[in-house]
Order: sequence, then C-alpha cells, then structure tokens
Amino acid sequence: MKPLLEYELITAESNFRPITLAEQPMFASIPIEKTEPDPNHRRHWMFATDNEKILAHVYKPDYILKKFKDTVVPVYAGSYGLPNLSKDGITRVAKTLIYHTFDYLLFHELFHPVFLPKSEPDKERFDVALKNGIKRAEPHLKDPDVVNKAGNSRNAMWDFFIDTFFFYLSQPENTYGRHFKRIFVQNNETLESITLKALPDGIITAWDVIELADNKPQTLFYPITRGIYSLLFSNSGLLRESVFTYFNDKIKDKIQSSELRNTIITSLSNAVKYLDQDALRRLAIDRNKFIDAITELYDNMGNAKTASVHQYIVKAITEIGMRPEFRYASVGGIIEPLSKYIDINKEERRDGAYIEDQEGQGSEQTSPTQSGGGAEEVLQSLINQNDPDLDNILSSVANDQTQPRTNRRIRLSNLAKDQYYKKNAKEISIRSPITEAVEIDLGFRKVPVKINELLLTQDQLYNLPFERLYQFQLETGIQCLFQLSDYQYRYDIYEWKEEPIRDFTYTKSGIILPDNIIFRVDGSGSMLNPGGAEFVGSKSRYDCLMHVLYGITKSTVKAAREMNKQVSVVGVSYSSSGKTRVSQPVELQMFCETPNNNCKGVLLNPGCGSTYHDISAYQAAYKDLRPGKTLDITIADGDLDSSHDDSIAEYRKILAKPENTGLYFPIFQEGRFALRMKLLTKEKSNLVYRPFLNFNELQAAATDLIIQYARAAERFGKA
Amino acid sequence: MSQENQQTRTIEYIANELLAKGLTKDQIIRKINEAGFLATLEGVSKVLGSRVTPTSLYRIEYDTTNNNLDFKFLEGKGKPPKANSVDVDVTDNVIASLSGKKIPILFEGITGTGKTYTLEQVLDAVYHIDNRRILRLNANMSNVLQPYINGQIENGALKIYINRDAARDILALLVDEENRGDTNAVIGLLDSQVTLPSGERVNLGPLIPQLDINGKSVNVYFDEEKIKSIAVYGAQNPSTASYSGTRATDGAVGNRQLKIAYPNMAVNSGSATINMDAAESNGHVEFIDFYVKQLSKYLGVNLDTLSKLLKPTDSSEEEKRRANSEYLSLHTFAFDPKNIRNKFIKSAVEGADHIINLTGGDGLAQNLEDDLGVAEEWTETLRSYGVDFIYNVSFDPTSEVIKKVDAVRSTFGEPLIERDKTKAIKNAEALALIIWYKQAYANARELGTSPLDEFAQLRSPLTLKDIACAYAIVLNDKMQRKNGASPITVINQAFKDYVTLYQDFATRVYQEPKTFNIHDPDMSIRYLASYMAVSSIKNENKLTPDEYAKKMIVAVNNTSAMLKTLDDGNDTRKLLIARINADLASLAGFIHEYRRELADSFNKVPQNATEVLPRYNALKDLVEKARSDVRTNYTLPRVERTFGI
Repeated sequence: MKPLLEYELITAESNFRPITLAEQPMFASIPIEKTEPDPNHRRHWMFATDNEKILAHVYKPDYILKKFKDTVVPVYAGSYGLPNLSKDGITRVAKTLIYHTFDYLLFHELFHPVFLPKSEPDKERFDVALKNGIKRAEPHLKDPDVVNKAGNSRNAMWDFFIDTFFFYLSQPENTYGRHFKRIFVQNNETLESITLKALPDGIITAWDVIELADNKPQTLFYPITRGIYSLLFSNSGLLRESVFTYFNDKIKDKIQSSELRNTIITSLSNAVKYLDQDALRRLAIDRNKFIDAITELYDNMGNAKTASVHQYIVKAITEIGMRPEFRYASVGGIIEPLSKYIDINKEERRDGAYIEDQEGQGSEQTSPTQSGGGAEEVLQSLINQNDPDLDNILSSVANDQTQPRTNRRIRLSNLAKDQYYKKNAKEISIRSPITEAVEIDLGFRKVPVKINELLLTQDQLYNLPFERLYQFQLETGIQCLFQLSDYQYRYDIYEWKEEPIRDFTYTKSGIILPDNIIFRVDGSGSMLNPGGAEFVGSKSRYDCLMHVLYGITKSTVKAAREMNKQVSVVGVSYSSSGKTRVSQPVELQMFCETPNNNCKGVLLNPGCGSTYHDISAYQAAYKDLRPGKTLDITIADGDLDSSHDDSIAEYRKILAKPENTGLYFPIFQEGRFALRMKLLTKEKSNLVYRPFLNFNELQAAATDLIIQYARAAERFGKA
Repeated sequence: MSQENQQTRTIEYIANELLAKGLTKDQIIRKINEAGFLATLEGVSKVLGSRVTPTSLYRIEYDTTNNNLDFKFLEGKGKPPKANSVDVDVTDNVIASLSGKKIPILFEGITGTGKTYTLEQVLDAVYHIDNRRILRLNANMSNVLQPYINGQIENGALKIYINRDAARDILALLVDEENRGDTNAVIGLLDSQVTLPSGERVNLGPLIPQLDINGKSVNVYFDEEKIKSIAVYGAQNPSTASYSGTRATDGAVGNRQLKIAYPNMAVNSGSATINMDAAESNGHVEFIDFYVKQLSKYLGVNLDTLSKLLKPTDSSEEEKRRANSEYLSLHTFAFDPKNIRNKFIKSAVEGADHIINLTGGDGLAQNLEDDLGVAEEWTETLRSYGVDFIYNVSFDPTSEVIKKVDAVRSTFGEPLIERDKTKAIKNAEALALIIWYKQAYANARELGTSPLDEFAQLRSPLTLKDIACAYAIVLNDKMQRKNGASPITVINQAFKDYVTLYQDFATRVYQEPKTFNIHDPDMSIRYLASYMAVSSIKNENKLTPDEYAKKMIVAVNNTSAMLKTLDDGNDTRKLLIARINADLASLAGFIHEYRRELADSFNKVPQNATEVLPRYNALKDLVEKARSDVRTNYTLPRVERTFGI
C-alpha cells in the first residue's frame, strides 16, 4: 500500500516540473528528494533546500491529515463557501489543501536559490540590513544580542519575501498563476463543488495554521508575522479575517490589539521607509499611497472592497523585494518594529516548537547544510561585508560572557575570537636559511626524429601526404622520399618530438613546513589580566599569546597551501592541576578556516586556573600525529606551579628526537622556568627561544623566526 | 569536368516547360529547387530503405505554449512520435547538409556501428562514383589532398600540382578514420579549399548553373564565381584508450565540423537487419531511376523526355558521362544554397543574440560591463540631447542562476566563436528543412495531398525556435564534459528572458496585455523601439537634420527608460536589458551621426501623417547603406541587429 499523501506529493511534483521548466529553466531538473514516513521523527514534515536539491520529507502523513481536517478545514471551509461538509467531504478538502500546500512548498524551496538568498553576497547584505534595522530599533541592545536576533529572524524574513513573491506570481493573471490555471483546467481539478483555476486561496498560511495547532508560541515574533501573512496571503476578506483571528487567538493574552495593529502596520509600511522616492516612482509605487493602503487593509481586512489595495500592496512588496537594490533597505525597515519580539536565544522557526541548541542542525525550512544557526552566519556576513561596526562587534561578541554559556553562545564567541585574531594578528614567518639547487625548465624545442622507413611501389606513392612531405622538406632540408629504381621508392617517416631545455639555479628555500604543529598555551589566570575571560583586544598576555599563535598560523597555512602539504595541529591548554586539555589533531587548513574545531575549542577558551603542567600532556600531544617533523610551540608567562624539573625532562625527551623542533615564547616576563628553557637552547640546537616582553614589541615585530631542523642541517649544512 | 563539357539541357527543358505553364523565373527556380530536393530525398530513401536501418539521433520538442525547448538524444532508439516533436536521424542530417552551404559533419562512435557504411550508402546513391571520394587516413599515409594533387619527382626533388578538373568534379568527400591521420591536413577541405605550400589554391566544388529568362527565352550559363562548396563528411572512433591509433581532434579542425555522437544501435534495430540487402548493386543507378520518375511527377514534365536527358540512352562511356553531367548540373542547380537560404524573423535575431550573450564572451559580468559601458559612453556623446542611457544595475555574478549558466559555459572546450554562430545558422536552416519535409510527408499521408505542395506551403522565414534548436546542437557539440550540465537549460533561460521581456515591454508600449507569438515577423523589442523612434516624427515634414535627430533620440531614450524599469532582479534578464539598452543607445548615436542623410531620406519620402513604415524603411535602408561605407563607428553591428539585418 502506498504511504498516505504520497499521491498528493507526486501530483504536486508533476505540477512543479513543467512550470519550473517554463519559468526557471536553469532549475528545471532540480531533484526532489522524498522519504518514507517515519512516525518516530521529531517533526511531522520538513521541506528544505541546499540549492542543489529540494527535500520534501513527509514523516507523519496521518498526523498532517488529521491536523488539516481538525484545524485547517474549519478555518478555511466557510470562507470557501463550503460550510457544512460531510466527514468524507472534510477529508477530501483536507487532502486537496495538503496537495496544494505541497505545490506551494516546492516552489517556496525553489524560490530560495532563485530569489532570496540567491547568492552568498545577497545573503550577507540581507544580514547586514537586518543587523542595522535591529540596531536602529533597539540601540541599547548588546552587540551579541543584535547578532543573535538577526540570526534568529533572517530565515523568517527571507520567507516573508519569497512567500509574497509566490502569492503574487501565482495569481491567475500572473506568470506562475497562468501555468497553474492551465494545468488545473486541463485536469478538471476541483475543491468539492468549486472548479479550481488557481491555487486555493490562502494556501500559504495553511502550513502555519497546522504548525501552531498543537504548539503554544513561545515568542511573539512568529505569530505576529503570521498575522502579516494572513493579511497579505488571502484574496478573500472572509478568509483573511478567519486566518488572522486564528493567529490572533494564539497571542491575544500576550499583546494588546492596539500594539499588534501598530506593529503590523508599521512593519509593512517600513517596507518603503528607507527607499528613495524617485526610485519607487519608477516602479509605479507611491510611498504615501502604499502606507495608506496598509492601514486601510488592516482596518478593513474582512471587507471585500480592500481587494485592490491588497493587490497593490502585494505587487509593491514583490517589486521591491525582487530587486536587490531595494530589498536590503526594505527589510531593514520591516524588521524595526518586529525587533523587540525576536527571541535572542532561539531561531524564529515556523514550527513554533523550539529544539534547544541544535547547532549544526540548521534551519529546518531552508538550509540543512547551514551550520550553527543563523547568528554565526550573520557574524560571518558582517565580516565578509566588512561592516563598519565590525571591530566593535567582533570584540563584543568574542568577549560575551552572558550566562548560561550555551553551546550556541560559545560557538558564536569562538567565531568572533577567531575572526578578531585573523584580522588583527600580524603574520610571523618561520623561515629557513638553506640554499638549494633547483632545476628549471626553459621551454621545449621540436626536433625531427626518424621513426621508420617504408619501401613503396609506384601505386602506393599516390597515398602519400605530398603536401606535408613538401612542407617538411622546405622546413628541415631533409629529403624523405627517394626514388630507388623505376618502380621502387623509399619513404622515410619522421616525427616531431619535443625535447625540454633545462638549466639549474640556486634559490633560498622559504618555510620548511613541519608535518605537525603543537601549540602549548598557558591558560592560567595571570595570563588573563586585565579583562579576565574577556581577553580579546584587552592587551592581556593571553591576548598577546593569541596574536603569536595566529601570526604563526597565518604563515604556515599559506605555505601549506602553496606546497599542497597536510599538517596536523594539536592544541594543549594548561590550567590548574588535572585541567590540562589536549585537543585531537586537526588538519592545518581546517584548523585555520573553522572557528569551532576541536583544537580551537581548546585554544580559544582558557581555563583561567593556575599554571600547572600535567606531565602526561607532553606526550599526549604526540598521539596520532603524522610521521615526520613536529614543531612544538609553547607560549607562556611566569613560572609553573608544577615541577620545573619534570617539565624540563619532558622537553629534553621531545628535543632528543631530531625530527622535533621546539619554540618557546615567554610572554611579558621571563620567569625561572623560561630562563631554564633559554639555557637549554645552548644544549639543544633544535630549540628556539624568543621572548616578547610587551605587546607593542610583538605588534612591531616583523618577525622571522629562523629555525634549523636538525635533519635539514645534517643534509645541507648550515648556511 | 570543365565548364565547356557540362550539360545543362535538362535545366533548359524544365525551365521552358514551366515557363510555358506561366511560372515566373523565381517560381521556376523555387519549383526546381523544391522538386529536386524532394526527388533526391525520396530517391535516397528508396535506395537506403532495404540497406540501412535509420539511426535516430535526437528529438526536438518545442512547447509553443510555454516557448521552451526539449532536446533529447535518442541514441538510436525509436520512440513513438509525439505532438510538436521532430526526430532527426543520420540520413536527415546528411541530406540536409547536401542542400546547404558547407556544414561538414563528423560522425564519432565506436567501431562497427555503421558510420562509414551509412555515409557511403547515401553518397553512393546521390553521386556517381566519379563524383565522390572516400579517403581512409592513417598515421603515415594521410594524404587527404590526394584526389586533388598530382605529384612527381623531378630532378630528384618532389614537385606537386593541383588537379583542377578534380576540384570541379568531386562533389562529396568522406574522410574516414579522420583522427588516425593528420587532422590539420583536413582543415583546408573543410573550408572547401586546397592550398599548396607553394601558395597555389583552388576552391573545391562544381560551378552552379545560372538561369536567365528573357521573355520566352531561357538561357543557362555558368559564372566562375558561383561554386557550390564540396560536401565533406568525416567518420572516426573516439580518441580513447580503446582506439590507441586515434588522436584528439585539433581545435581548429573540431570547430569547423559539427560532431555528432554516432550511437550503437545493434540492440535497438535487433533482427531487423537480418534480411537486409547487401549493398552490392549500384545504388546510384537505382537512385537515378526513381529520382527521374518523382521529378517528372512533381514538375509535371514528360517522363520520357526527362529520362532521355538524365539517363544514358546507350551503354557507351561517352553517353554515360553526358547523362551524369546533366544530372550533376540539375542537382547543383536544385541544391544551390542561395535558394535554400532563409531569412530569420526579427525575434529570431533578437532571441539568438541573447543566447549568444549568455554563452559567449569572456564571462557574463564582462559582457554586461561592455554593454553598460557602451550605453554610458553614448550618454556622454549625446549629452546635448539631454538623454540618459545609463543603466544602474546591480548584477550578481555569484547568484545561483548565473552559477548554473557558468557551469554550462565552463564545459565548453573553447569559447563561442564566430564559426559556431555560422554553424548554428546553417544548422538552423538544415533543421528547418528537415522539420518542413517531415511535416510535409506527414501531412500528405494524413490528407492525401502532394508532399511538394505541403512542403512549399510550410517553407517560411526561420524563427527563434529554429535557431535555438541549432544552438542546442552546436553548444552540445562544444561541451567537452557534461557534468549534468545541459545547454538546453541556458537556451530555455534565454527564451524565457526574451519572451517575458518582450511581453512586458509590449504590454507597456501598447497599454494592453501582449502575448509573444514566435511566428509573428514583427515581434521584437528592438523593432518596437526603433519603430517608436520613427513614429515620433510621423507628423513632421521638412525638419532640419538636428530637429529630426532630437525628436527621434529623445523617443529612443524614453523607450530605454521604459525598458530599464522592467528589470525584475533576475540576473540573466538584466543582461538582456543591458544589451538591448546599449543597442538602443547605439541607435540614438547612429541617428545623431547620420542625421543629415537621414533628413534627406525622410524628406524624400512622401509623408502620410498616419504612416510610419515608409520612413522606418528609409532608416533601415540607411543602416544597410552604412554597412558598406567606410566605417567610423564600430557599434554599427548593434544597430544592424536592431533592424534584424
């Protein structure tokens, strides 16, 4: 037996294909991935896209059918003129509405890559606009919260625009609507006694009706925006009022009707607030007329006479939203009155039921590949767009210590820290003084090479490439056809071969890249003065340490890319006894590019305890490394609270292996332990000691650290 | 065969017969052309019917409602017919290419699939053995010019000469195993020329008989300049490890030929080939026999007379040569590319331009920038008119749509070049021809009418559909790898952009909903814009050059402003708008530069206040004239395509 609702989904896909072929040919063959029902899945359905395919997962068809029957049909049927449906009639109407909801959802997913966000820069500019709108609306909001709010509302605001586009374009007189009309007429499609020539009215909001059927909204943002949806996405006044009332009932005990009215009217009016009047005029939009139309529609939402203002508003928002040159300014205005209702901690999803800290799960509606929720992406957008507020936002988000320290907040903070140091740390090169002989190619020359000879009769002569032979003879002076007798010829066959022309030169090789890098950092409390855990930009020792660490990373990752070499990176963070953390090895490119890898997780979050070196961590860092050279870097201040002798002994063990090289950077002060390490350099040529006594010294240093790998020295001799 | 020996009595006889029936010279030429083509087609079908199983290549399906194209490779499979679709097979391609102007086709496929056999069968049917050549190439003996060159060793050194008789006598050449020899040597043949290292050169192909009618007098003569290019076909195995003797085709050779993947249809044809005749009998004799009968039927001329002219009346070699010469003259006359050539209607020119813009150039962003630059510079030049052609557009080169277009572009082995466009034009003509005759025979079968009458009725100027189908084939040929990318998607995107922009623009101009009709000869955005420019002076008489220019340039500027408001955020549509806008700016520039001549022309046209067309045609004539002037303005092609010329 076929799963319930499979027919509806397949029929919707069969509508989707020809319309997409006609209207969006570049996406005509976008795959639609369906799945088997799964009663244990946490959601009842999921529609999403990664721009390459559309996921149309219906996990609980029986639940969906029930909700449509129990909740959607009662809200919609009366407005359709179907007040007294039989039990079977309710099921038929519910199934028809589900089928057309699938129609809508497939196009909703298609519209993301087609319209919004149609590219990374588009997504980034949209994020910046949201951030600006939220900041204008709530100037005293802390930067991390601004970023969080922008991240939590971006998906909803994309949806607002593309749903408006779909509503407008699917009207029977418009492009998509004409296709639906032709298909529905051809297939004699009906909704009970009604002949369908368009999608059933209000189909966009049916999804939201069932999303809120069992879930009490936890914030006001979602139901308020659904109020906007019901206002815009129904043609019939009766249905508009019915759906609006449904959503209003969910929140009426939390928001005064006057506040709701003001929020919705202001939000929609703000769609044109920051747009140039002349530019609007070119789109045949009059700002005042638009604002008046919104008030008129809201105050008379159930009145059939609002049809023309309704169409005017929907068309205007479509015209504005489709054009990137207007959409950013527009969304910045729309979000202003909604800002205070956006949750700081949770994404404003359509499902109304939040799942705590689903980092890495991404938005259910849009991008299954998107990581860490919207806030991280918004921060990344601000970085990529080089937002004027970026420096302040980065340090503010990096140093955010808001409790509780949810995984989501830690990830966002790590991203900010990572970006801050990537932006501000100066590159520290690790160079080699070795000179090597390098073979270089000067090019190729062509030489004729005889490869064969044939003896031919007169008849066979006619098959020869005369014009080629003639040309060859002219170019080389070599004769290749000889008359041996009256009846016999010899044909020498030559081929052009390329020979390289070579020479040698001497060059100073650049960085000798190790196979592994170990960063041992001092995460003690003394390192975090001043500023404590808010070390980013504080000029504390840990801030200095991070500059060194990122400075080295910058040069090594560049070299690794050029040399196409894989390097493993391990982070060790020392703190109080038993609190030393050792990361897994992470590949250098990955270490550099991602802010929340295991290694950065260790390095970006110091323990703030004492300076206790757990001895086991010296060797633990060498576990699972790549074979070859290892660069073991320690960055620390002051003395150890643990045994200096034990640590020195461990360093000796490490440096005893010629493939290992140690770098020791005392920060701000050279304690007794540091001085013992300095002494060790006289004994161990594979140890480099480089103190940074203050932050300015570090900042000023165009530091090239000259390192001799022992093995390299043996092979080439010292320069 | 030299011109003096070439027999043309058959053409004279037919022309006299048709003249007596009251046909004009053009009607006579057209009738001979159409009847000759159908008779050839039927003759080939007759000969090949029992010898060759048709190898289906692709199905072209065009949805007239949504204006989109579906192009499928049939890979030798026979699919049930579908409405609005045409299936094209190998022989269609070969026969259509005989009728056109130089469309060298290269069949590539695994060994033993029938590439060479099928080509040989078609050429054997149409041409006497003396008029066709088959060359098989290999690494050391690839003397592709062998039929045209005499060589000998004089005083110990090799000397070579062109055989000029062979250059006229050979009408078709099949280069087999093309990539086993030196493909560079084939280049000249593909250009229908032989050039020796000494610089000696000859154009290949027969002279085309020319018909002149003066009253009741028919005269057939030859013009040394009117040569029908030789038909060159290639066959080869793919240059893969399985065929170690093959080489990858050189780009300069590849882009001269239309490469068609030849399917292996052993399973598809199955046992249908078991009882097929071996090709032992002389196909050409059988062909001529049937050809003469059909020709006589279609032309309504006496079969006996025609037979005596076109078939040998005795078995002497001289008589055979005479009859063959008659046939060749008639064949060449009927297949004169000049008579096959069809004009493209305006929307085809305009739509094809958008396809070219999406698939050619150094990149879409660069293409856009060039167009924006042209509009900007004309705005500066025409500042005194108070115009603004500048298009402030926010193009997103990383948008998903553009990424998908770029994915197709990135599969091209080399960028779109002029030769590709020429190839597409010839292909469009060939495809239109195939579609017409397939439709003509289907109609004749259905209605019991004459295929010739149906064929004659179906022939019409070429549309955007024809050129788009041709680009589908040409672009597909350019793709070095597929990666799931299909040029059809880009062509359909171009279609969609163009059709919707036209509709939006025309709706704005006419103030009422307008629907695009692919067959309407006057539907075109640029046409409408230029027409509106001329319309702005329809009530004016005896204006000064500056006054005419001012009014028209302002009108063009207004149209440009209207066009720019139709930017709906779609990045490919922006490219189209930018291109048309730059062309309109160039039109304004042309009007400014040629205002003196324009005023002269306008003032000579007797002006009826309600008529725009005479002055529009005067403007168009001026553009055509400017083409031949010493050029001082290199944006003229933009104006030429505005007028579809």
